[in-house]
Parts: sequence; structure tokens; C-alpha cells
Amino acid sequence: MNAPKKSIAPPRLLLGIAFLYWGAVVEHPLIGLGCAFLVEARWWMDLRWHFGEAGFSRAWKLSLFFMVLSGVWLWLQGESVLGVFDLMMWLPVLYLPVLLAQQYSVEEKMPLNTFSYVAKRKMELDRAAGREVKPLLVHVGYAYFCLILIGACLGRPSLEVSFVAAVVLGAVGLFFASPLGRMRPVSWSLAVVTAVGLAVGGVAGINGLWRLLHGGNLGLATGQSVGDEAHTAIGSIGEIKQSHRIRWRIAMESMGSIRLFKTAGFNRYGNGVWKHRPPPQVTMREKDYKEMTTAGGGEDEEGNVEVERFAFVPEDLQEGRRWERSCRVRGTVHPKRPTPVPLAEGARVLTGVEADIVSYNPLGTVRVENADRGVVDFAVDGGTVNLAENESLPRDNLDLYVPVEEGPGLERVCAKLGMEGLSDREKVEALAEFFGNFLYTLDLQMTVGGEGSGEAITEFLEVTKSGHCEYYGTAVTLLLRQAGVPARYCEGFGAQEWDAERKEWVLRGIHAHAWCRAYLGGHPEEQTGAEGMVETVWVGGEWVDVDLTPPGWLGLEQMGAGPPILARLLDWWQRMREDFLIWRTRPEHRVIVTGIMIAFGVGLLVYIARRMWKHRTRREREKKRLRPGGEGELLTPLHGLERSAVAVLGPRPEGMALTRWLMGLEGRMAGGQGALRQAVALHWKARFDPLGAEEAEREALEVVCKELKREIRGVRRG
Amino acid sequence: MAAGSKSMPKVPFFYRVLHRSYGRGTRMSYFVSSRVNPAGWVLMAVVVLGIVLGLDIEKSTLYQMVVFGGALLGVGFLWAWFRRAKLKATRALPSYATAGEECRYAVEVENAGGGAVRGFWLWERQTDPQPDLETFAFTKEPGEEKRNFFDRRFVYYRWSWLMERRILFRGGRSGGPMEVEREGRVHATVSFVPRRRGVIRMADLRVVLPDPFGLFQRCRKVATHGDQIVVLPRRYRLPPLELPGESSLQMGGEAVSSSVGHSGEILGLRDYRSGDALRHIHWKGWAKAGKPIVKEFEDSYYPRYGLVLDNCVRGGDEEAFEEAVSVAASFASAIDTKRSLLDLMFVNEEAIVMTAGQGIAKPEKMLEVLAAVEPDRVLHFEELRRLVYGYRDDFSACICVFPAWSRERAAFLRDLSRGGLEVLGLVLCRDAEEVGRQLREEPVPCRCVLLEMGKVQEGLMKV
Repeated sequence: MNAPKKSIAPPRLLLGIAFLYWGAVVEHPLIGLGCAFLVEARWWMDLRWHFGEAGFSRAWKLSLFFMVLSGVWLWLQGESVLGVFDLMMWLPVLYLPVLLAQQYSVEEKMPLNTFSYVAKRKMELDRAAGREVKPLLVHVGYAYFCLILIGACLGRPSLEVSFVAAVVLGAVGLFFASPLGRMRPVSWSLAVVTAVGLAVGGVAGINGLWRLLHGGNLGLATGQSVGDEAHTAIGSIGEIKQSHRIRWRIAMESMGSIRLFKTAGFNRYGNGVWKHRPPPQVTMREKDYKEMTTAGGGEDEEGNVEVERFAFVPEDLQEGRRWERSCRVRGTVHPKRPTPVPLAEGARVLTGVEADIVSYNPLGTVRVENADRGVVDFAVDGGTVNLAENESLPRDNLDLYVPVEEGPGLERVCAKLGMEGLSDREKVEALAEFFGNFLYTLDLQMTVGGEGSGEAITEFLEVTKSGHCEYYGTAVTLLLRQAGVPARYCEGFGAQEWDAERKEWVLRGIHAHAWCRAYLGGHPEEQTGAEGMVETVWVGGEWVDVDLTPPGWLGLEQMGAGPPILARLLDWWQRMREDFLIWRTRPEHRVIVTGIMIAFGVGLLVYIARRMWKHRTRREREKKRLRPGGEGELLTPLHGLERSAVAVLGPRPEGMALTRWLMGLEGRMAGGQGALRQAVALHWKARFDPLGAEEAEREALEVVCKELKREIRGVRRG
Repeated sequence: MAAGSKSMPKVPFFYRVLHRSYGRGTRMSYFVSSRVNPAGWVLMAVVVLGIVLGLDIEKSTLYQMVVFGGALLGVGFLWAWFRRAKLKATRALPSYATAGEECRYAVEVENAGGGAVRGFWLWERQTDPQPDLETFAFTKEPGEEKRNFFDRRFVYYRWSWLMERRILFRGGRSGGPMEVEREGRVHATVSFVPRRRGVIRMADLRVVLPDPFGLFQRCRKVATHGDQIVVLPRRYRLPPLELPGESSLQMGGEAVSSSVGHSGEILGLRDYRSGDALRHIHWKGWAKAGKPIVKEFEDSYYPRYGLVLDNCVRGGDEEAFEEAVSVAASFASAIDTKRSLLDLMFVNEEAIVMTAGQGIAKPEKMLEVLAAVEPDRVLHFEELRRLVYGYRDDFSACICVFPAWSRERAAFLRDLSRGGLEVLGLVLCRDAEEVGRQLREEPVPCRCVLLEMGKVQEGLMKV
């Protein structure tokens, strides 16, 4: 049992308006306008097609083809799995062929099995076996309307706009889809108001719950910055698995002496989490980031000079200032989120980063923001020592902080090692000797505190004496701080796999590493900041990587790498994808690729248009209704009452004469019964009397019908 | 429906389990689908999709749509749940309907509840179409042997096919939303399309009460009497028929005709004899003679045609049999029985002959008989043969409709044609080429038209 047939298709303009809203939200108003035009043009165009089962099926396949093509395109753009959201956002456009087939089809509905290969195949088999099959027919209009709204919501509109739009458009859609919407407007409105009230409460509740759980502000696309927090496995139990996937490739002339590539630095530890804590005068982490100075004129691998360059200090970009090219970095980034990039110590100028912004913080974290695509490829020039801008001087309150829970344990270890009185370098050596007896393991076990304990480092130092690089990096950092040496925790990659053929370091997930960066040889000095705040800053020393993780860590990480053939195949696939992306986005290749794509698109369009033109037909327009006084005398003013009377009587049942149906008003109108009978008599005369109604009678009928219309409105109001 | 019901073997346990589970699933599906409208399904799908895609509320605002959709579903569900109606209805059914053609009937609805009922419509539900255990276990779907192992083992398609066959009509709903005041009455028109011939019992009229959004609906039973309607077989269009054969003196003829204005010549007057029709009394003669005088008519000569429906059906030929009944019905309604007699012959446990025309019976009666004819699974073909041979000499021509072709049928046509009788054979077949080949190998001395399933109308136009 279904709703009455009249509500199967959305009314005129509803889909068009939905498309316009979608276009506005996803910031492609022209595409939205184009789609709206194509969808709504059916109402004033006579062109139609007999699509039939085969035609609808072709439209569906074409949509799937577009979908696959878009997926491949996103993949080639280097999008991650999250790119599926973007794909979903574009679904209203990708599935437009299906909607257009529905809109311009002579057939009112399409078979539901159009969308299922299995169901279609079964139907074919049934027919081949001589069984009569009548597939379920549907009109996809309202389902498509929902798809447009979903796509728009994925376009990340502002919270208020999206909610109001979803409510208004959804309510309008429901009003027309509902068989009772127009007949019982009061009930319908009451129900909508109730639903909107519930929805407002529900949305507010979800937002509140989200804030409660995440402890932050709710807002789209402003989430936590990547590279500001490192959730380590410290304090957790179980075995750690690392990915063998290639993360970065760093091409160099020779292996050189660089063994650590840092992606992010952190200065505050607690409960297994390292964080980037800005100085007190900086209120937000994001404000602790500075954009690198940019300028054109850089040279890429092929010697092209119109490549953008980024530097920490403007002087480095001055003409004539040349730095030694240290390496070339290539890898996957998130196109919409800031992605930290691995850099060796001493990097000063980045050449050829195709992104809007390259930013850095005082802990040495360099991030690429709004990259043009999912893969970046840039050259790094510089020396061997980091700049002050790149890595700020240590501060007492930040770089000597030790968590309260770990304090006693660290103190015991320092006392045991006799750190007091030693120079900074001697302290490092003492620690190296101390950690020489420790074991590297990825299988984490707790014996005392249990999982989530705040004393995991103490337990590591005094009991288990085994752990992975996060333990070593954290323990060394905290021990040095306890011993009075400013230190920071670093994340990045260890250079372990040299590809001699390509002359590049291959950085995989298993090469992810953590270590300590200590400020050795410095002494504290009180300084007054810009806002008059006095703080203790260490000067006179230098930042040095202190990596005391046992050297055998990589051997353990590489265990379980899987079959070498499969690993090589995956490597090849990834390299090919990244290299192809870089190749096709180079200016000299971009024209060729764009040309091929346009040619393909135009060819496809021409092919489809040609086929459509060949098989076109025209709809039969409804015969023009003849007005009273015109030739034929088919309609009278009484017909004009039908629309108003529907609200009182409900839709006229099929096959019921208009006059008989209208007579149902007789008992409902306070007055006007006589007028109704008079109107019916005049109507009959005008329509069925061979002599027809006289001019005066026609005029009388018009007057009576106007009166009746007023009466009916009165009945509607109550 | 089940073959060989007398010596029915035991139904395997596996089939019992399948029958029970399919039955439960079907009932549940029917229950849900009659209470959730397509708009409700679409909205539920949107909500589920939204939950899958929009879990992270920082990535999109889809959760707002999910919440709004959920609120609509909740309000709609509760609204429909609390709707009430207490209605009584009386159907005004026509005498006949025709398979495949829309049939409308009026229903007078009376509101027996405490308040007005607004925004409802009527739904005539049919009786449960689920097959019984034996039918499910022993009736094979046509072409089932061609299905894959899984389908053959779990026979779900057989279940669907049997269900589909037992659905007697489509539609059964009234026009638009209606309303009826307290203690008021309203007339509605319900339309349905019978899917096959036979008798449809109408015993489950429901009032459908949707929520304002049209997402859910409540189905309440309407107090009504059980009614039934006879569905005549589907009929095909036939070309102008020029049946062969000469007229001959027929017993009965004008003497038993109830028609007026088609009499033969009056030969004279004679005394009334017991059994003479009252309308043949010559009143003026009675007045003059003082005793009943009747008019005596010239004997009439009519062609008499035989319409033989072979209803001996083997398993798998049921659809062909239905088509054969339709073809027979097409001829029964197309042959002019005002100028001829038509004998319909078939076997239904015993030989049955039904004569129409010349006041004996109207063609509608013959269609009514055809509406009820059942396939003969015990295969009394020999009995049918004997029956037709008994009437062979009276026929001007004979039309034989076969649901399949066999050597037995070929021999029957040969024997029937031997006496010079004009015979037209109509054979329903799935593979016309194969039957054509058989006919070329063993020809019959009469015209044989092959009617391929799915192209019956085209085939009949060649008759």
C-alpha cells in the first residue's frame, strides 16, 4: 500500500532550488546553477527520450563511470581515504545522468533494479526462462533530493545555515511528498513544528555532548593542529605494529651523516602525551606558528626558475645568497590539514613546495598547509645548524618541566647516576652508559602501575628496563630536565634504508622514531619579554640530538615485513603514483594532461549528445484548455473552484463528475447552497446544452462562482 | 495446487524449516511494508547513511540532517501509532471482472467511531498468498533445474514464484485521502486489477491512516461483510472470424430460444401441446377456437461449433494452461452465438459439455465456466477424446486449444479431421520452432496455429 500516485515526483523548482543551495554551500555556484538549469529545463522543453530499461541502465552505468573516474582522480591527486567525503559531496553531480534520464524520460518511472546488477541479472534470467517479470518502478526524484541535501551537508556549511537550510528544504520536500500535506495543513504544520523542536534539542544536545567529550570548541575545519600533540604508547600494554608503507623519500647526493629527520618537537609531557606548549604570552598554539617568508625565483630539479621558495628569515631569500642543496623531500600530505614535513637539522630554504602556506613553530616543527595536491616535492637548502628562529632558546618553565608523578622516580635515577656536578655532556654520557643495559622491545608490559599509570617512565627506568623509542626519548628528555639540562622531545624518522639506485633515504612507518633534543652548554639568564614579563631563558649553548635508543631497534621493527615481493610491489605502486602526480603537475606537462582530459571529456560529451539527438522524441503537450467563450466551450468557471474545494473535500476521486463532487460542499457551507445549485445548472447548460449558455448566463456563472470561492475559503478558515 | 494429493509423500524436514522461516519472513515483511511508506524508507535510508558518514560532527553538518530526519521519523511514527478509526463499509461489487483489466467498485463507508476521521483511504487486502507446505515442497518452479545449486537447494525463488502466482489482484485502494464526519457516510471507489481468473474473496478491507508526512501509516480493519467477485479469463483480440462448416438442422433451435425477432418463417397454426413455449401461443386463434392454439415455425438450421479446451496439464505447463483458457475465452466471446451454437468441452474429473447460443445459455455463462476451469493433473485425455468424438457429427467445425503439444494430441487431431470435419488446432508452446519441427515430422490434416508464450496476441491475429 503506497501513498497516492500524485506525490511521486518533486514539484517544479524543488530540485533546482536544492541544486542552487548545494552549489552555494560547496562553493561551486556555477555548477549548481548548471545542474539546476538542466533539471528544471524539462518543464519548458519538449525534448523527451524513450529510455526504457536499457536506457536507464546506461544512465546508471554512466554515473558509476563518473564516480569511478572521480575516485581515480582523487586518488591521483594524492587524497587519503578521507577523500571519500569529497566524493560524496559531489554525488549530486556524479549521479546527474540518472536524474536527467528520469526527468527527460517519456516513462514516468524507472525500474528499481536499474541500481542493482544482481537484481537486473535475475530479471534477465527469469525472462530467458519465460517467466513474466514486472520490475518495481520508482521515481527517483525525492531520493535524489535527499542526496543533494546530503552532498550539501558534506560541503561543510556553517552550522546555523546548514540547519536552517536542511529544515526548510526538508520541510518543503515533505510538504509536497506527503499525501496529506495540502489537505491537512494544520496537522502537517503541527507535526513539522514538533519535529523541528525535537531536532533543535537533539542538535544542541549532540553539540553539548561533543564539547563535553572533546573538551574543546565545536567548529568545522578548525580542529586540533597536526604536529602539536603526540599520543605515545607509553603506559599502554600490548605489541606495537608499525606500517611498512613509505611515508617520505629524501633524495641526497650521498648518504652523508644525517640520520634523523625531525617532523615535530614537543615540550610538555603528561600521561603518555607530549604536547607543544607555547610560551605564556601566546594564548593559542596556532598563534605560536609563523609563516615562512616566501619568494619566487627558485629552481626546481629541471632548472625551472619560477618555483616558489620559503625561508625562515627573509635574508635567506636575498639574491645572490646561495645555500648548499642538502636534499629533496617527496611524500604524501593531507591537502586540507597542516602536515608536518621531515627535515634534517640546518634546513633554511624550501624550494618548490606547492602549498599556500608553510609555517613553523619555535620547537622546530615545519608544516605544509593547504597543499595543492596530496603529494609534495621540494628541495631543501641549508647548512648544518638550525636557526634561532627555527628552534627557540629554552625556557625554564617549559623546557625543564617534569611531571609531578614521575618526579620522585627521576630524582632517584639521577641520584643513582650521580648527575649532580657533571657537565651537560657528561650527563649525556652517563645516561648513554645507563641505557646501555636496557632492551628494545615493541611488546609492552606493565608490572606495577597498570595501564594508564602516570608513572610509566619511572617503571621503565627502574623495573622493566625495556621499551621502544618513545620510552627512551621521553625518559632521556625527562632525566636531562631533572638533571637541569633543558630538553625537548622530538618525533620524526630514523634514516635506516638507503636506496643506492635512486640515491634516496626511504622513510617508512617502521622508521618512525622519537628522541631527545637537549640544549647543551647553556646557562640561564633572566630576560624581559615584550609585555614586561620576566622569564628565565637559557643562552650560550646549542641544541643537540640525543638518541639513546639501543641501535638494534630497527631490526625488531622490520620483523613481520611480509613477503618481499608484495612489499616491493606496494612500494612500486606508491612510488609510481607519487611520481606520476608530480610529473603531471609540472607546468610543462600540465598542458598535455589538461588537453587530454578536455579531449576525452568533449569526446564523451559529443558521443552522448549525438546518440541522444538521434533517439530524441517530443512530449505531447497537454491540449490547450479552452476558456469560456472560446471555441469548444469545454471549461467553465466552475472548474476554477476545484483547487479551493480540494482543501475542504480532499482530492476529487478518479472518475467522479466535478459537479457531483462539488455538491459535497452543500452541507458545509453556511449559505450558498442555492448558489451552488445555480452554478451547477449554468455549468451544465454551458457544457451540455446544444444551444449553449447565453452571454448573460456566462456572466452570471462567473459571478456565482466568485461568491462560491469566497464561501469555500470561509469554510476552510473554520 | 499440489500434484498427486492422494499419495502425497512426506515433506522433508529441511523443507519444513524453509517453509516456516520463509513464511515468518514474508509475514514480517508484509506487516512492515504495509505500515511504512516509500517516503519512510527513503528517510530511514538517509538517516542511516548520515549516521555512517556524519559520525564526526567536526567534519560535516550531516548530523544535523540525521537529527532532523530522526525527529521526523519519530513524530511520524508516533502520530500514525495514535491514529484511530472505527469504520463500517459495504461493498457494491460488479458481477464480473476480467483478468488484467482494471475493475472498480463502490464502497459506502460509515463512521461508527466517536469522532471525525480525516485523511484516510481504503485498502482492500487479499487473503494470505503464502503456499501451503505440500505445494511448496512438491511444486517446481518452471526452469528451476536451470538455477544454480544454492537456489535449487534453498528454493527461495520457488517460494517467491508461488507467492507471486497466488497474488490474485494488484491495487485495491481508493482514490485520494477522504474524510468522514462522526456518524457520517462517504462513498469511495476502490479499483483493482485481477491478475488471474477465478473467484476473489474480499474479506479484509482496511482503513489506512497515514501520519501527516506520509512516512508511516496505521492499518485498521474495517467492519464489512465478506464478498466475492468472479474474474473472467483474460481475452485476446481476434481477427474477424470466418469459421468453416455448413449449417445443419439443430435440435432445439428456435423452439427453445428466448430471443425475440430472430424467428424462422411461420408455417401455420396447430393445437397446443404440452411443453410448447407460452410466447408461441396465437392469442387470436385461441380466442376464435376457444382452445389454446400455437404458432408452428419452420425448423432452423444453424452451424454448431465445438470449442475443445485440453486441460490435461503436466507440471510446469500451468502458465500455458492459463493462456489456453484465455484463448478459449477469446473464441467463446468472439463467436456469434446468435447465429450459431457453441459447445465448450473439457474434462474436470468427468467430461463436461457446455452449450451456448440460441437461448440455451449466454456466452457470459461460458466465460464464467472458463473462469473456474481447473487443470486436470490426472490426465483424462482419453476421456476428452471420447467426449469430442461423441459430438463430432453435430459440429460444423471444431476449435481445439492445447496447452502443449504431444503425439497423443496429434493423433487426436488426425482422428477428428478424418470425417471431414473442419478443425482448427491452437497450440500454446514455449518454443514454437521445436513444435513446428515436430509438426513437420508428423503433420496433421488440419490447420494448426502455434501460439508462442508471450506472443499469443500476435499469433491469434494470424488465425
